[in-house]
Amino acid sequence: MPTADATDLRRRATELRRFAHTLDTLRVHDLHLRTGPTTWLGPSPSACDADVRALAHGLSTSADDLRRTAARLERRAADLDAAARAAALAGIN
Amino acid sequence: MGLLAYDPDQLARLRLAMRDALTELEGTVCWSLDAQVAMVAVKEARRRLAQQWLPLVDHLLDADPLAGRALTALGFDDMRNALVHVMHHGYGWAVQPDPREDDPTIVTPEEARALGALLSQGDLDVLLDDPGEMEWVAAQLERIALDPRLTAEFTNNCEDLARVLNSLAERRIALDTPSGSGPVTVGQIDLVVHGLAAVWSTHVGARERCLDPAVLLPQADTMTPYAQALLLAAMDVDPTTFAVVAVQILERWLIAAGGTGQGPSDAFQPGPNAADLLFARLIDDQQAAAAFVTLAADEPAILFTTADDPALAQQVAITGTSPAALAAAAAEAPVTAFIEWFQRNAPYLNTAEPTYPDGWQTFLVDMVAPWTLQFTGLATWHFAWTPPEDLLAFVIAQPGAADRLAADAQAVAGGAVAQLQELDRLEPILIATYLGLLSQLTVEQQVADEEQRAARWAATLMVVNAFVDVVTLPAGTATSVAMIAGGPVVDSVIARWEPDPAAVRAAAEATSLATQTVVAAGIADALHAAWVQHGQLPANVLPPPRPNPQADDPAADYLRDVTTWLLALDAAGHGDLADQAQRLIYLVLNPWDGGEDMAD
Repeated sequence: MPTADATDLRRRATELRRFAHTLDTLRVHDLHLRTGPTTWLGPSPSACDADVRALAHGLSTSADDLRRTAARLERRAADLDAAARAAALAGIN
Repeated sequence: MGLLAYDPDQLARLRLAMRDALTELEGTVCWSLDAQVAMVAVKEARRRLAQQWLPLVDHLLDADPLAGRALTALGFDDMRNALVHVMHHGYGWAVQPDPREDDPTIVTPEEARALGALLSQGDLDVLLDDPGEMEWVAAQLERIALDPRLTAEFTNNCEDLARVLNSLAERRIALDTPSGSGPVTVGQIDLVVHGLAAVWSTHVGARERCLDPAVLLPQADTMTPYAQALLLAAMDVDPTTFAVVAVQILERWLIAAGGTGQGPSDAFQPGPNAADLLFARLIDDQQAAAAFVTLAADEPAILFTTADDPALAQQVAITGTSPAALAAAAAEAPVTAFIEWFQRNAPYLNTAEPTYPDGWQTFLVDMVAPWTLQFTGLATWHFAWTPPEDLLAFVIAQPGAADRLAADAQAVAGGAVAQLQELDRLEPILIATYLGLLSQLTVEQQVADEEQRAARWAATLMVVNAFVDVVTLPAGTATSVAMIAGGPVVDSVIARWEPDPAAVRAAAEATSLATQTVVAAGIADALHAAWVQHGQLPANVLPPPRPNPQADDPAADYLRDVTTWLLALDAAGHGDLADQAQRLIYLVLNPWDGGEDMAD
C-alpha cells in the first residue's frame, strides 16, 4: 500500500504534467503563423516574429522541465513505496 | 527612421490572435512551487504581448496609412525601403513609420527579392544621386552574395540586370572624365558593381568552376561592352575564362565602334573605356594577361586600338609576353604578331586622327628585350611569316629604340640566360653570334653623344656578364663565358676603350670595334684556359695574343695577331683546337671585311 508521502509526490507530479500540457497547447505557439512576412514587413515585424518564436520556445522548454521534474517526483514515490514494502516484509519475518 | 508595410486584413487577424493568446496567458496559472520557474516564462510572454507587440499592432491599425508626400518625405523611394516600396505598389499594403531602426547586417529573403525587383524596375536615377543609398545597396549585395538562397531570391527578381549595369556604366563613363562630377563617385559606383558581380558570381558558380564564357555574362546582347567590362573586371573568375570573355567583349566593342550605328558611348568620351577597364585588371593578373595576349595574337587590334590609354595595352602586352608569364614556345605568336601589327600600321599610327600617342616604339623594345635570343641562330621560334631580322630591324630602327634596349639590358640578359638554360645543345658559334648581334643593336646604332655611347657599352657588357656560369662553350669543355667576361683581357681593353664622356671622339665605329675585339679576345683567352684545364694543351704554351688598345687600328692588329696564333697552333699539331678557335673568333671579328661586321 502506497505511503502518504508517495501519494503526495504523485499528486504533485500529476499537477506538473497537467501544467506542462497546458503550456504546450497555449495559443501563443500559433502566433508565429501570423507574425511573418505575409502579414507585415519591416524592422519591428521582424523583431516581433523573432520574439514570438522565442517566447513559444521558452514555454516549450519550461514544459519539458516540468515533465522532467514530474518524472523525478514519481521515481522518489516509487522508491518510498519499495522501502515501505521491504520494511513490511522484514516485520513479517 | 525605417518604414513598415503591412496587410491590414492580415494584421487585424494577428491582433485577434494576440488578444486571444494574451487572455489565455492571463488565465494560465499554477500555484505549485515546482512550477514557479515555468510561471516566469508565462508571465514574460504575457508582459511582452501586453506591453510591446499588441500596442504596436493596435497603433498600426488605428492610425491612417501613410500615402503620397508623407511617404516620399520618409524616403519611400529610397532603395533602403525597397521591400516596403514593392509591397505597397505591388500588393497594396499600407505603410507606417517603423519605430525600430533596421539592422542592415540582416538581409531576409523578402528583402533580397525586393531589392532585385526594385533595381530591375525602379528609378535608378534616384539611386545614382544618393551616395549613402549606393553604399547601402553595395553592402546589401555583398551580404546577399554570401548566401545562395538570398542570391537566388535576388536574381530571380532582378529580371533586367543589363538595365542596372548599363545605367551604372553610363553614369560611370560620365563621371570618369576630367570634367566629370556628381553626387556619387566612381568609387561608389564600383562598390555597387562589385556587389552585383559578387551576387552574379555566386549565382553562376563562377568561383567553384571554370565556366563556359557564354554563361558568364548575363544578357550579352543588351548589355553594353562597357557594362560587361565593368562586371567582368569585378568578378572572381579563373584567368583563362577572364581572358576569353575579355576578348569577346572587345571584339563586340570594336565592331560597334567601327560600325555605322551609334557605337558604344565610351568610344566617344574622354576617359577610360571598356578596354581600359579590362586592361587595368589584366596588368594585375599575369596568367590572365598571358592568356589574353595569346588570343590577341590573332587580332592585335583588340589590344592596340581599343584602349583610351595605349600605355595600358602596351603594359598588358609586356606583362602577358614576359618569360615569367609565357614559355618561349608560347610567346612566339603574340610577340611576332604584335611587332608585325605595328610594322603594318606604323605609317598610320602618328598621322591618323585621333593621333596614336608616341611610346609604342619603346614599348616594342621592352616587349622584345627578354626574347632577343630568339632573333639569333639560337632561336627555338619558327617565324612563319616575317624573317626575324626584319622584325628586329623594324623594332631597333625606331627612334629611341637602341637607347631603350641598352636601358633594358637587365631584361635582355635575364631572358637570354633563361632561354639558354632550356636549350639542349649550345653551339659556341651561336652564342658568339648572339653577343655580336647585341653589340650591333646597342653600340652601332646612331648615338648623340658619348654619354649615350657609354650607356650602351655598359649594357652590352652587362649582358655578357650575365652569361657567367651559365653557358658552356665547346662541346666537352667547361669553358664558360664567365672567362670571357671576367678575364684580364677584357679588363685591360675595357679600361682603354670604355667611352669617356669628357673626351668625346668622332670615330663612330670605335666603340663597336672595341666591343668586338674585347669579345673575340675574351673568347680566345677562355678557350685557351679550357684547353689547358682539360690537358689538351700544356700550360704557358701558345697563349693567345692580347689586343693593343694603343694601336692605331686595334681590331685589325688583333686580327693579324690572332691569325698568327691560329697558324702556330696548327703547326704545333693542334689543328683541331685552331679550327675551333677560328670558327668562333672570326664570327665575332670578321677578317674578310676588316673586322667591322659581326656575324648575323
